[in-house]
Amino acid sequence: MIMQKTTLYILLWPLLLGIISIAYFFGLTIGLPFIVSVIALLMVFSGCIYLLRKLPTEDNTLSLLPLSLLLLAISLVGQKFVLLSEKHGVWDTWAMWNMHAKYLMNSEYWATLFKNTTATHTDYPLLLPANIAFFSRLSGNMLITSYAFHLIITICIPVVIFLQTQNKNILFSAIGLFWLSTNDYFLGIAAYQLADNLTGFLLLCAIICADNAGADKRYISLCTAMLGLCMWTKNEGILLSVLFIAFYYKPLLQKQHLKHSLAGIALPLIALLVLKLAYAPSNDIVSAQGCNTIQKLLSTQRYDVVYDALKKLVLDNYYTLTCLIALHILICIIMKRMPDRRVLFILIVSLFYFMVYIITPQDLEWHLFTSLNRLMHQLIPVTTYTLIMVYADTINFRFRKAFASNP
Amino acid sequence: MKSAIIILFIAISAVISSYYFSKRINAQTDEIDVIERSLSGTKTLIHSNSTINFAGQKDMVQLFSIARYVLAPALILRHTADSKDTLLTIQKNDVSDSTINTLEYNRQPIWRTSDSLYTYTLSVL
Repeated sequence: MIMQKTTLYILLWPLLLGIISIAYFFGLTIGLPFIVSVIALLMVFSGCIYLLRKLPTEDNTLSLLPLSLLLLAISLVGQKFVLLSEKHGVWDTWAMWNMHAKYLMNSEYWATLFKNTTATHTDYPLLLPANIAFFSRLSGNMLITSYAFHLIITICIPVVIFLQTQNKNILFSAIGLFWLSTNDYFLGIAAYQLADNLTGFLLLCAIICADNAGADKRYISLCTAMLGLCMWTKNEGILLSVLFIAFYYKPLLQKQHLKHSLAGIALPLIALLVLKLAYAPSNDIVSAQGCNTIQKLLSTQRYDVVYDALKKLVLDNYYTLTCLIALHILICIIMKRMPDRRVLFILIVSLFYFMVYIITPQDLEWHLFTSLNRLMHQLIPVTTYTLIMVYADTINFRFRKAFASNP
Repeated sequence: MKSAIIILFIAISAVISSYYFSKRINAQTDEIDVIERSLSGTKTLIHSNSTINFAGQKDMVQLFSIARYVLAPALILRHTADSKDTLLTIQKNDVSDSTINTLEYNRQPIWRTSDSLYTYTLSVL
């Protein structure tokens, strides 16, 4: 499988966002003037484009119908986003992410951000707020900047999935495209203007790059760069990246690929370490663990509460996806083969998220109510992409077998 | 060529959508806007490096967060008994809180305003 040329161009966008945030953050830490940060990030981005030049890509020209479908879906997302977005976003948008951005817009007193201790989560990584700060300083309007930023990310999700899967099965690909671009629940959470949508997009980019790793080793660097940016976006990005590396240890940690993997992840990882070690307070969930963690782990009541909330959320909003995953596993059991690695990855991530709620120091029901939908949202782009690929492969496989046995 | 069309279309959609969003929000006023407008009068008193204490009526977490958001990058901390910094108090117009009144009584007000929802006071010891 080879990556589509347009997908590669779109993947340069999150790469640019990552470089902007890291250059901007280091610019603040060493007190560089804004214009110098802009020049530095342009240089780093040009360097990245030079390193990624002539990557093997396919340039399958879309016929008129798929292209029209794609343009229609993009326009639908654009229209729905206007209706679903609130002026200042939801509580977490203005009280956390955009407030962090407001501090980062001040090059002199930006570090005051970390003196805020109550209900602000100043331990969160800075990819999103640094970008909002950067673009707001350029545009002069934070509300529109934040809106446009999240809209572009949301549009890119179905577009990338469609472009990457339309060669496998155009019907499944088109269903996925319109399911994502018309789903009010999915778009509604994306319109919250939080970092979860971005995390989901970066994870999708990482899995697409990993699927293309066989074509060129530089895709490994691009994949680990996306994982690094996941970590630089949200704390749970660290969990996602560790699990991803565990599932893709062969292509990522092989001796001959190791330097490519390190090259991709190095910059976001260094930025994250500087933030965590020099500025950010400790994470509330991690620092609250102690003797009562065992009690929580042994409390069956907590498992019931989390299970009920997860079941309700998934069945109410992602019933089709759940059924398709269950069907895939059933087919695998019947055919006595391993389920797809990507499906297993999604299930294991869900399991780890489940366990985070078991040990949370927050009020369990409040924590579930305020964040479970967003955590599951992070997995929806990857799940949609995976299911299209898996079922396209299953159908191709069944057809091949059917024709082979009937000469 | 098709790559350029798709990327250009994404950009055009984003611009058009942002235009309509801007049009929509310009006609809206919510609680954050009301508070932001009222607190804009403190610009000459609260600087980027200022530390301000905040006191509000019971369970006014949302108000504290809004004040912190609109006054960033100044540092807004919840008022404690040993706080000596300038104090920002926000009270609902229709509900008077005796704790806040006592706090204000013991301090000298340096700025005060009110809007349709709240009365805002900045005071010093």
